[in-house]
Amino acid sequence: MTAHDPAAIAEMLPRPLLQVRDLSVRFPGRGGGKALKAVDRVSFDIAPGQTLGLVGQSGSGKTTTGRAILQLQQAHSGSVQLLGEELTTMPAARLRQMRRHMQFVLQNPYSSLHPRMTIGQILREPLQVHRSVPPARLQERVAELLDLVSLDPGMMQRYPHEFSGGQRQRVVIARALAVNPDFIVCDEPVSALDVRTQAQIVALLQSLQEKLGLSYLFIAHDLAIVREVAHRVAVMYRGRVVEMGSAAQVYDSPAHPYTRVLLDAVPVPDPVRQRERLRRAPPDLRFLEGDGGGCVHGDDHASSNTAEWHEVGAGHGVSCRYWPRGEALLHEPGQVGHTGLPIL
Amino acid sequence: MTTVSRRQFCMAGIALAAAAPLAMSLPAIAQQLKGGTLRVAVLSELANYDPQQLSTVNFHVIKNLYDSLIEYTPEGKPEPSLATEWTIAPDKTSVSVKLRDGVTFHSGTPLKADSVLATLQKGADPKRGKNVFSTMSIVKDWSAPDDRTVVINFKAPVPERQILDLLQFLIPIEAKGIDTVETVPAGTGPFTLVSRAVGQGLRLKANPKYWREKQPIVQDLVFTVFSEDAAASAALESGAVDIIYNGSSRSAVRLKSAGYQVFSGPGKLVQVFRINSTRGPFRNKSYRQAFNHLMDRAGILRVGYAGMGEVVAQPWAPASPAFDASYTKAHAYDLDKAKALLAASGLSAAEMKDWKMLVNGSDEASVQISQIVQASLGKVGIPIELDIRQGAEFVSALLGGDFAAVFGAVGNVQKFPSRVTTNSIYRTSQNPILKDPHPHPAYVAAIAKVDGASGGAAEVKASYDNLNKVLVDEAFAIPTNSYEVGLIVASDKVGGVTLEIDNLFVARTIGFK
Amino acid sequence: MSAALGSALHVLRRLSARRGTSFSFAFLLLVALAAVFADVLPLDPLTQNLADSLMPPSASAWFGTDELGRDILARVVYGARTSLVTAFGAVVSAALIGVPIGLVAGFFGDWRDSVLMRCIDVLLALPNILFAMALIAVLGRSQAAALVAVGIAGIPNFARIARAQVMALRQLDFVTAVRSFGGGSSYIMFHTILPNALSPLVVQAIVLASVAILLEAALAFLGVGVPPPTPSWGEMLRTGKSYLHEAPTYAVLPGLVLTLTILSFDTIGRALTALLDRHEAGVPERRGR
Repeated sequence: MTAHDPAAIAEMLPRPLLQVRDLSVRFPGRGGGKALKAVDRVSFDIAPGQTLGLVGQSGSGKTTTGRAILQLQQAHSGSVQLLGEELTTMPAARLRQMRRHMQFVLQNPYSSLHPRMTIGQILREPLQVHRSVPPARLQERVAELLDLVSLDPGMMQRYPHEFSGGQRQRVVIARALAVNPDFIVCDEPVSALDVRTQAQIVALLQSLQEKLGLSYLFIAHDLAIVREVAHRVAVMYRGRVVEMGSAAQVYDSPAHPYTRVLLDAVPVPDPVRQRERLRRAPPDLRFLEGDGGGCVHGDDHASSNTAEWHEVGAGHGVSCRYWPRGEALLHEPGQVGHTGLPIL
Repeated sequence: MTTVSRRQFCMAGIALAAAAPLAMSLPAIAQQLKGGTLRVAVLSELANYDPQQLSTVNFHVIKNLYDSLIEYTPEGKPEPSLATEWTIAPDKTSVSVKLRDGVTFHSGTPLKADSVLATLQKGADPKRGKNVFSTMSIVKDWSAPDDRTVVINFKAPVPERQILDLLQFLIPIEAKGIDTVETVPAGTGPFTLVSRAVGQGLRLKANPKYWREKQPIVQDLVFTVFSEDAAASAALESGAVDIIYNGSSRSAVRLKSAGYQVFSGPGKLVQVFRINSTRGPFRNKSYRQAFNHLMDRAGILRVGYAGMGEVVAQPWAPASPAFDASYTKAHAYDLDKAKALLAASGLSAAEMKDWKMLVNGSDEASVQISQIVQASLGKVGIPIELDIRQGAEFVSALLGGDFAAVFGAVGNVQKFPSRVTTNSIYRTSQNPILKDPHPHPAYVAAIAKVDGASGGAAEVKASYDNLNKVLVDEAFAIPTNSYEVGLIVASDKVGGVTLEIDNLFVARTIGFK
Repeated sequence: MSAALGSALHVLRRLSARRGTSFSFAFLLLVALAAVFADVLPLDPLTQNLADSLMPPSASAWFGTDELGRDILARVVYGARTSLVTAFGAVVSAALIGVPIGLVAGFFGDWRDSVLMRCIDVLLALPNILFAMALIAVLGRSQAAALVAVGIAGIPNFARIARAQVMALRQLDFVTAVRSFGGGSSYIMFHTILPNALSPLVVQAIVLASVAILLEAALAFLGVGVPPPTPSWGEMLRTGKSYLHEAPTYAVLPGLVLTLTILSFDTIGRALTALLDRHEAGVPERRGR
């Protein structure tokens, strides 16, 4: 049982683009009540050109994690390093410069575009803020961006309300690409769109990743889409990552009971099986509390100062918290080893 | 005198009161008047009850709460009041006064010599003497041979008229109440204080032990303070008050034509355009003299004072012995003469307009007549601005001499000509505007000549002529017109209005028909 | 820009459809034109003619003459200039100070909010007239002083509305988007949020214009406004009230013009509020006077 040692891992693996360690976000309780742990000791890395899918039900802290990584949300503790630079303690001016490396694609394409600016103005904005393109070339660059997301450069003079949701989301993506970022947080980028458009946007994101070597943190509650785009998947529950592994590992051999509940909740296309599933008793969601005492393996992580994390396969880890009362791991205890963090 | 000239207590009174155009004859004694509650509208809140701080703001209460040693008739004839008789020594260095028997103060204490001595003591005190202090300068000392007699000794022989003025000015205050007289009246007057609501008014009631028989006629006397002249007029017309005291001339003219009685007393003020000859272009004599011709006096009198008064070019009412109508003609409104004098001054256009006219924003007439002069100045190429200030801010600028030019009225205009020096602009020494040494020695000499003219009528006349000539020549004060102060407008139900030499309000003879 | 102009024209057209507002527009246009072109009209507000004072309305002087024989109509027209310049200047300066205060307070929401809004509360607690008079006592009587005094009275309204708007807008996605690509705080406040908060602020400016005209007139009426002989509606009311018996039109006609001007601003502000209410939320509450 070795303690997690980032230095050792760094030697073994290529340097990650994004490294998140023990990131916590707390919201003050109402009326001076107990603070809510929206994100609790979340750690993961994302390598260049890869996508980490972040799944979990509403309120599990997915979006907050994304915002905390982008420093749009004050972190309570922990570290976020992008390209080897610590973001949480970075001065505001330096952070603004750093933002050209990380971008945000928001869920709602209807509200994330300024209603009184033309598409051209919207796309010019980040370029002007970062002065990354000489004024004479702005027009050209905007056309380039529209082309990149398969939109007609002729629409530059028009306003967002003249476009469909899919077109707008392309504009949002184009804006994110404007400053040549390395990393994009996509927060439910397609959930507001119809199914056909969803597929188009997902395809666009994938092709852009290939073309530009982008890394994504892909936040979604739709497990099917995440499986489609993500190389690795992290499952969040109550602010914690409870399971993380490659898409195949998590989807095909879920180790954490919550992951299994989540996967079981996905509707199946066969109406007979779906009906049968609905007849079954709902899964017991009264999981153990996350803190204090021994874990399901009987380890006391607090006193041994180790991560509450158990590796169940190569690069496939699971938290020992939030297990249903009395339920043991599927795997033999002997297979479980305390490791450092699973690295993508 | 350190107060505003408008608020000055007119001290001496030489025979006058000739033509008060609106004055009505005094009521016949036989006329039977009934009592009741007399309601009087006034336009100012009184300052305090100290009779030695007499100013226009408490003109309406002093003669009702207090009596003086002697009184003048409107014609200037002395009459006994609290003093039954007075004997001036043949060498005119002392006067002996006999006090009336049976007079009591409102507290019930009988009037005796001690209170008169205390009053003299207060008047001679530079801190407590207030308006009376300067008048007391002729007094050397005083004594009381007995309870009913007071003897006042003078530093030098004093003209009889000046002695009488002093007696008229002395208002006995009860000795034991003299330190609190500002807040608690301590007099012998026909009315006693019932209550006062600051900012609203004052209620008095008849003094049952008053020494004058059958006076006062009314049982209650109620003063209501109005901030607006128009509101006071409306109150009279609606019957809410019986009398307006000290309202505007314009309202009086209108109300008179609507059938109300209007009484104007013998005391007048003269409006004077005061020039600070120590400042800017006003140091230039020719420039100053131009202002003799820049005053549209007829317009000023009509717009500012509804025509009630006379145009004058000297600080005398027509009744003054020094009055000379020829000056009014010779120094009439004449822009061409003004332009000639301005050209003669040799000042540049920029120098000529390098000043502002201070204006009393609280006085509507001042604002209007200042605009008339401003327009006249505009016509001769001197565009100046008005510096309008309100209330205390104006008064301190006026008295402190912190102005280039300003309209301000002067009193004592029908008295002995040298009395004009009680007004700050006309002071011959310690002049707060012109400072010492006086920049116009010719004027100082002219005043001295008037004071020293003890010879025949020709010598007196010559000294007056000289003073008039010097005044228009030096031109540091340009009189424009005389006007009424302390006007009484009464409903036709009211009778028995008595005029007072200084236009104070006397309620004790007033009753209802 | 053309779209903004188009929507402004659209709003104007919608407003003019109502009879009350179209009359208000026409009246304000008349007053504004008179104020702007006063110099070319055959009117002289300053020349006195003491012989013809307090004349009733006539062919030569449509509104009669004042106590110094000046043409009252001319003084009303030039008084419009005084009133409108003071009101316009006051509203603009109130907006220039109040809006940034509200933006900063609402945007950061931290100690800056507490400090700025407490200051605004203090300003709001002071009675407008009293504060203006005190200020004029210090600055002296002039049009600039009246403008500053009236302007300061308008700061809290702008600050509060701007703050409310920012608080509503700063959480919106397009603001987050700008922040996430690296827009600085002042960039977000002035380029992203302010353009979206503009309509309620414009309505507020119109409502405040009527308050400013009234306040300016009140100051002149109390004798601390623009110094004579510069014509001012409030000053004419102040002087005219003394002649209500002799020349009732002296106070009544300027008073009527003042009333109609204020009513017109109010009517338009009200109609605009109603119109915008239908389009978007967050229209300012109208503070009572």
